[in-house]
Amino acid sequence: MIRRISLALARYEQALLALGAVCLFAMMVIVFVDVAMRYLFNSPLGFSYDLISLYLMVGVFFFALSDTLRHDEHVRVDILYLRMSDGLRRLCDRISYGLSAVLFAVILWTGLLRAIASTAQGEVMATLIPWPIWVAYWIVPIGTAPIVLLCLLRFIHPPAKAQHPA
Amino acid sequence: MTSLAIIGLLFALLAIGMPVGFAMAVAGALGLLFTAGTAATVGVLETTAFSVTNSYELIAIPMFILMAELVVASGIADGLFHAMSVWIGRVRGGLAVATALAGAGFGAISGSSTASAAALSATSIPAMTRAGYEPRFSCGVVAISGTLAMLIPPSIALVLYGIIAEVSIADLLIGGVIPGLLVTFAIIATVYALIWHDPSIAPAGRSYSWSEKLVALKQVGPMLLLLFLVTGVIYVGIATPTEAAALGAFGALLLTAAVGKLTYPTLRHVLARSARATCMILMIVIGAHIFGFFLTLTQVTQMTVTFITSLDVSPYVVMAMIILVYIILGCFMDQLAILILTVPIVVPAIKALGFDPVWFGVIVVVTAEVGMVTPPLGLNVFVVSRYSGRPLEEIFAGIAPHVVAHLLVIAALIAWPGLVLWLPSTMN
Amino acid sequence: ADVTLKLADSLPAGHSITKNATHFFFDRVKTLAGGKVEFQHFPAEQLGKAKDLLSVTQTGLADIGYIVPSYVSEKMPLGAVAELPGGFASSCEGAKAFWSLAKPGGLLDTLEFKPNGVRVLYVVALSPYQAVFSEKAGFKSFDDFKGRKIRSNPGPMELGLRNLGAVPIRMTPPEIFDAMTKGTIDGALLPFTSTVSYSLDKVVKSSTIGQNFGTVGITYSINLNKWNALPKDVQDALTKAGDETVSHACARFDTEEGELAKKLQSEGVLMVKFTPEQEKILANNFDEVSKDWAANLQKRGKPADKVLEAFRAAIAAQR
Ligand code: NA
Ligand code: NA
Repeated sequence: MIRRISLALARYEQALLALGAVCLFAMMVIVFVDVAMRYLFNSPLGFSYDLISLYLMVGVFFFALSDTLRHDEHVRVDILYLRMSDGLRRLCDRISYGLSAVLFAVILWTGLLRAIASTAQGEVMATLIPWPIWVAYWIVPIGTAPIVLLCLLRFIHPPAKAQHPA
Repeated sequence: MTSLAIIGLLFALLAIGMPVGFAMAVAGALGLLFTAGTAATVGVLETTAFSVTNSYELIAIPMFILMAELVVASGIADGLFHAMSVWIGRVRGGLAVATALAGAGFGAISGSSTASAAALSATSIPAMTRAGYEPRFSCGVVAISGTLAMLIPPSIALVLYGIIAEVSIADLLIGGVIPGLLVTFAIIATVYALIWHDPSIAPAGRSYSWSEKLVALKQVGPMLLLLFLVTGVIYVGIATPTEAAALGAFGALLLTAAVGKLTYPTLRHVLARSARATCMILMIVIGAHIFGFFLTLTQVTQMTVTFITSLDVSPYVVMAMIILVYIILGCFMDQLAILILTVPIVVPAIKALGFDPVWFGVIVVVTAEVGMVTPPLGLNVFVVSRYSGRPLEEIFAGIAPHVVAHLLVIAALIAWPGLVLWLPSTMN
Repeated sequence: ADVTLKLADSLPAGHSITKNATHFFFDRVKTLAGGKVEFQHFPAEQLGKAKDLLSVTQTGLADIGYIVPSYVSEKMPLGAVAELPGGFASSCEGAKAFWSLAKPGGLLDTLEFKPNGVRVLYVVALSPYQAVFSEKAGFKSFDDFKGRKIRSNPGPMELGLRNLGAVPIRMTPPEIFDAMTKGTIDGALLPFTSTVSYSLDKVVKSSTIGQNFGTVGITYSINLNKWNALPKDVQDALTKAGDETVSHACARFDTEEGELAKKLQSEGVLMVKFTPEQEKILANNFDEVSKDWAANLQKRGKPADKVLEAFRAAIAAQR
């Protein structure tokens, strides 16, 4: 059961990471086109500033959040950790992942409520293009939900092998 | 009292191996719970992650990371090290010197010192191992040379400092050039001092013919091209430093395509790695913000700064104390987290003491370089250990002489502020 | 002191708004409340970014927050009425009109501040923004707006520029100096006070004068629950001090703005004035922008026409 959940979660994380990668690539291309249009033709893309800050940056972070933890690429101080006995290390993992689960659960829950409320209000920005800010708010729960689950899974079953961060 | 307990908790969470960003967020949230109540804490957790990432100026971070990853994938980084070693590999310790120079060169196109350390590890450690260099010595040189990337422009750390301290990012980036060369020189000097002390750690290498040397020089070309692209567009005014990061990434993409290395799997791999590295850094920025709100509320930092600045001693003694605090913080904390937590408070204080904020930014980044290689949290040492398979304590030992050299450089920058400020002053 | 109030803003510690408004407010409250009230000031985004300070105030992390309606335009779209270009001629005209709508019981208070759980203590409107240009830009007359890249705030300011044939550019404030020096942009919309505080006076070679390309309408607002829990005499002191702060700060801004204009001119900055015909084109353009702003909000069911009318009436009442 847990194994099936874990596999499904990994697949969801991969899909999200792919989205995050698209955001990153789009960011690079949009800035390039924006600068080129401004410098060469005096007509920059009016939408790049808001599009990038409101959706793409938020997307890169939240869509990569859980996958980054799965690959142990969130930096940690592991000088003591690597010297611990297996039992102690599992205990430390339980504390780390338990607390992280609570942290991200709060972010998930408040993020979800905010997204729902903002959607109900149809909140948009007062920019020339009325960007729907509620769409951006949805990125938060979509990206936080898997990390809550991943932390819970690791709280129940701490990973067997200790690793350095990359 | 609460503040001491929460700071203690943060260190405990870091010690048990909790990810740095998570530990700061958890400790900060608990601290807020005690000092500001539930509603305020929940409010901070609701808004901080979104509003930190919802920011245009931070795009320099993912873009410089993406550029560095593309440079590694394209083989430009290997070519750079190869060229350096062909030119100076023959002399005793030549490969170590080549590593320092490649570190400076790679630093000129990468804004992230971990990316740079990874690139150097992958290229120069195997070469030095084959040549019979002592591992402690070679890993030490690689770890310290990687840090050059955060001082020599482009630099994520300097960009972030500029945003927080509201000083000219262009001045900071240009101000980092001479200190970057100085640190490169210090690394090379340390290499020679170590070899002078014990010649067995670094054997002499083979020599190359002039035609081989000229061929190797061509491999420096793409690196120089990128370097001029990034600094050129800023200098000529085509783009802001923030935008230049994206142009650099785009240029690196074109170069990767030009050398035939841009396949779909490579691009996927590069984007995935960059997204994760960005996420890691932003998580630390978020954690540092949450922890920072707590520290601000307890006014611990303000009181410390007020205390330090109210001391009846020379400004230079105060500056020495501030740098000591930065070095101690650098042992335990992530460098970007330190910047975000301290700069808003320390910069007004040092301005009040009559120091220049651009000069101070460069000094802080040089101390941050030291923090990248000091135990227990020394990110570059982790990276080198990961790539080389050598134990952490061996690399920490190998780095010690370089830390001493770095401290001497800091002393020189304090004694002669012109080393930092002269180049930016010629620009305006 | 019986009461300690935490005030959070996003301005650098020595900003002119802090000096002219917030510090004055602190002093007046301390005097009026007879030492009953103390303030803790958290500047420079120490408790949250500018766009989060509404939430920071609502949740009680801070008691008083620097709340700028246009930074939370999804929550307080109508509050941006003071920022529409062309509306008024001085900081005092704008600030006093904005104050009459935003103060407790006013139209904006009823529509936006009260429903968001905050009560405005005082408001600040920076002096009307001018267009300032670098030497390279060569701005000498009204026709020179065409094709010039000008940094501006989002929203109505952008639209106003676009209608003049200029190219509005978005950019964070710390980057303006470098961008103008190197020619990445030709100019920016800013009041002279900000021009000087961003060191742009070293780059600026020409500028409009006496125009209004918009402004920023700022409020310092207190959490309503916190307000209700305060003793009556403290409430009275805050109310009185707030009212005095609005007049005091705007007068200081207008004086400073005038002095800086003279200083810039004496340093060789070309102050570009427009002919009556050009003024008319500009006024029509700005009127267009205001109508467009109101129409967009009306479509979303917000009574923007009513707010705009009330704001204009409040301006007229001062003349
Ligand atoms: Na660099
Ligand atoms: Na360290």
